[in-house]
Amino acid sequence: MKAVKVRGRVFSYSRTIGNVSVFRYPVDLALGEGNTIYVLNRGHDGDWIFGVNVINTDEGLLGKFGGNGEGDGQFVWPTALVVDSQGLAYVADEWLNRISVYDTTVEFNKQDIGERNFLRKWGTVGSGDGQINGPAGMVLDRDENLYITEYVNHRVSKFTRGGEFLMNFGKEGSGPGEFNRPWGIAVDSQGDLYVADWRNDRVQKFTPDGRYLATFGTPGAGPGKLHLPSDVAVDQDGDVYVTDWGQNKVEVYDAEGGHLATFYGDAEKLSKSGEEYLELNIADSEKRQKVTNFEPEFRFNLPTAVEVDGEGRILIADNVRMRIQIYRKERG
Amino acid sequence: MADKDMTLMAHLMRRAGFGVPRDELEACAAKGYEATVEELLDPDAHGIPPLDTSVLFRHSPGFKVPGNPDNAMGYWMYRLINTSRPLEEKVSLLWHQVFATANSKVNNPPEVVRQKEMFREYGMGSYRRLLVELAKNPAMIFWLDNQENHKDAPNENWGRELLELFSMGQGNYTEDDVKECARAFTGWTLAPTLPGVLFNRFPWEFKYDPEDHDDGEKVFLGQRGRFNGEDVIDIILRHPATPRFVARHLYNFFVADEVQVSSWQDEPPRDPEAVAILADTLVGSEFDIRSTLRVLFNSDFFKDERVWFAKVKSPTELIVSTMRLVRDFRVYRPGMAGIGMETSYQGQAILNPPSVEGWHTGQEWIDSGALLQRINFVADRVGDVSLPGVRAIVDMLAVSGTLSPDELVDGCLDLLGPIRMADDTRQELIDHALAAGPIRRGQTEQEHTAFGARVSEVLKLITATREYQLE
Repeated sequence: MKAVKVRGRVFSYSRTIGNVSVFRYPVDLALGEGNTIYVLNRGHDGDWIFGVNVINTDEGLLGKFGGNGEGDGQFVWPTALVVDSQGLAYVADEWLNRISVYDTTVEFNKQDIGERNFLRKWGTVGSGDGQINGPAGMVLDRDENLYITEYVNHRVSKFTRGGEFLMNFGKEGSGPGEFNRPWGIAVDSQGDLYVADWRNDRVQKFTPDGRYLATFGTPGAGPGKLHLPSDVAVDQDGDVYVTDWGQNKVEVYDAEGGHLATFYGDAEKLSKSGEEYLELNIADSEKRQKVTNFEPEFRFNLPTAVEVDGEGRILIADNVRMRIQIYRKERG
Repeated sequence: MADKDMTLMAHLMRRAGFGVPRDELEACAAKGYEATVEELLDPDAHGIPPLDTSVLFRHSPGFKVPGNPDNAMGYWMYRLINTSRPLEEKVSLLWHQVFATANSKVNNPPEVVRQKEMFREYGMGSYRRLLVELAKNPAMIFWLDNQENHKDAPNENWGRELLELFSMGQGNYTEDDVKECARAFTGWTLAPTLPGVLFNRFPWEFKYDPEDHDDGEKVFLGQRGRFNGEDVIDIILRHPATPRFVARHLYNFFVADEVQVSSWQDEPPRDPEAVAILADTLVGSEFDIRSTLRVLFNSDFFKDERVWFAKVKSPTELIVSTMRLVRDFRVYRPGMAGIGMETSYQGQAILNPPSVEGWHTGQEWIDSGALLQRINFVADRVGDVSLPGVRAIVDMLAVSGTLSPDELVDGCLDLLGPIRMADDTRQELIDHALAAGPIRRGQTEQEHTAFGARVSEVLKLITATREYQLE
């Protein structure tokens, strides 16, 4: 992707990290201290061995935790991951309907520690206040309370980090403030919330107490349009990034909903781990030399999560391609 | 609708689909036989939407571009269990049997799945179009080595199977025809594509390479010309053996079990008149499969009671019909890949046929090991009263309040099919029910639970009979 200059911003592709030997269907990301990235792997039937990767942006593995199962510290259908200011990680599981809490300040020593850093879990399945069904997305607000989107209950619930219920809003529908299988959620610097309203092909913005404010994106194909958006992130300037899962792209809007840019995936250069793989696997390397069109490899396939950091980096979980593509925003 | 008509409708839904639970059967009966056939044949025209896979891919992205065979199998089984367009999937299963392509060699599960999507798209249309698409299908090209079929070094694998297994059958062409057929398909190859190791799998692409195509004169089935692949397909379709061969496949798959395909050269069809009707329809409709199936499902030979339960369910048909009956996996949950693997355990590893001849069907689905696996799989499902479909059967039987052993057995047979049971087998089931005493729904939770257990016990016994293995 050539740098896109639009209304005082320059968006450009930066690089890619990971490959199939590092990630397995990465479904969510969380940014930690420094260059640390937490990557939640969804896995799939019969291959659930990947838990949460703790890596840095140079693809250095710092550690791993979690695993498949229904026991403490394990997950079946992990969906969302956040890390609080004390280094505690919260993982939502939409099959087990619970939130598991882990300590990420432990020494990983580049090892997979399984469930050894598990601390506690909470969550009761149901549709009543304080119950959850199908937790899909999570975000921490400025007070470090958790907002959780619920795929089955079509709503957003707010809890303390300890699992104490605070409030909820939304119901099934397609009108303002209603949801159809919501997924990702983000919070901006004002504390306002943005929800990827998956089946309604839109992102909705709310006040912290759940009052509807605005809609981003309209259903359809093409730049600026959305079909089954999976996640949303908001940067320091209020620009909004949406992974358009159903159309394999990422849309960028300004704070008022004006369309700024579209990313389709630009991984022309292999990730570091990808290069290392090919150095060790000559046969695969030779097969690639016969290929005349690499474009399918550049593009997203089911982008599932997006996060932005304070340095203008935009990280996108490219789920089926088992990698993270990183873009950059600069002023210009 | 009379009982006989209901049984005929059940016969149609088993053959043109995977059977239906009682409420769906009654809905079909209310529409009428011919109207139901039309819905099955042309779901688009009747507003029946294709399966929405987005929820599946959200929960299991591994099914979108399956990196391993288990996921590919699970994905297709999910489709079979949940589709509202069962004939479309059944036809796709038919062509998977006829144009058998195995991931064991192709080693690209998404491409094997994509081939089935091609069958779904073209399977009920023109057989000519289907053969052309098949010749261009990347999984088939790789499976039968047509990427190695060069102008200066022909490879006969695809050309031979096109004649022997995909269109005419043995005994209707010569070795020279095979060679000339192969020459016509030189240059029909694959574009070099990305290997699927680093970032999951990537689609393969058909490529026609005119530089590698043998454009010289050929003599094929007595005709002379500078034939290319599509010319050869046109000549094949004009040969009288082709409609007979395709018609026999349709009869074998939808009407009654024939001998194995490899014996067709020597054994006449089970019902020559029926095969002739279907062959004439193929010719008269320019090989339109939908038109031919319309004739088949509305024919006397299909409705004839002698062909009801005259086919052994393939493992896929057994598994899918059971899952649809008990309504498991209608809401997606973990474990779908395991259901795909079940086809392997029962002897029909879906997407992985043993050879280009496909599976041996009919009685050969059954051996002692496979039979045990089949019975155990089904008994586990119908014995689980928490499954919505089993619960529905229990609730329907509970309406009567108290059931005699005869009524219990006959009620279960009716709601599982209706199934026709041999008299002595039926009597054994009744004797078993009788030995356990009267069956009453009762009023208490405990009595309800006991009632459900009695019903599920009879359901399990029925599914262990010979009759349940047939369709």
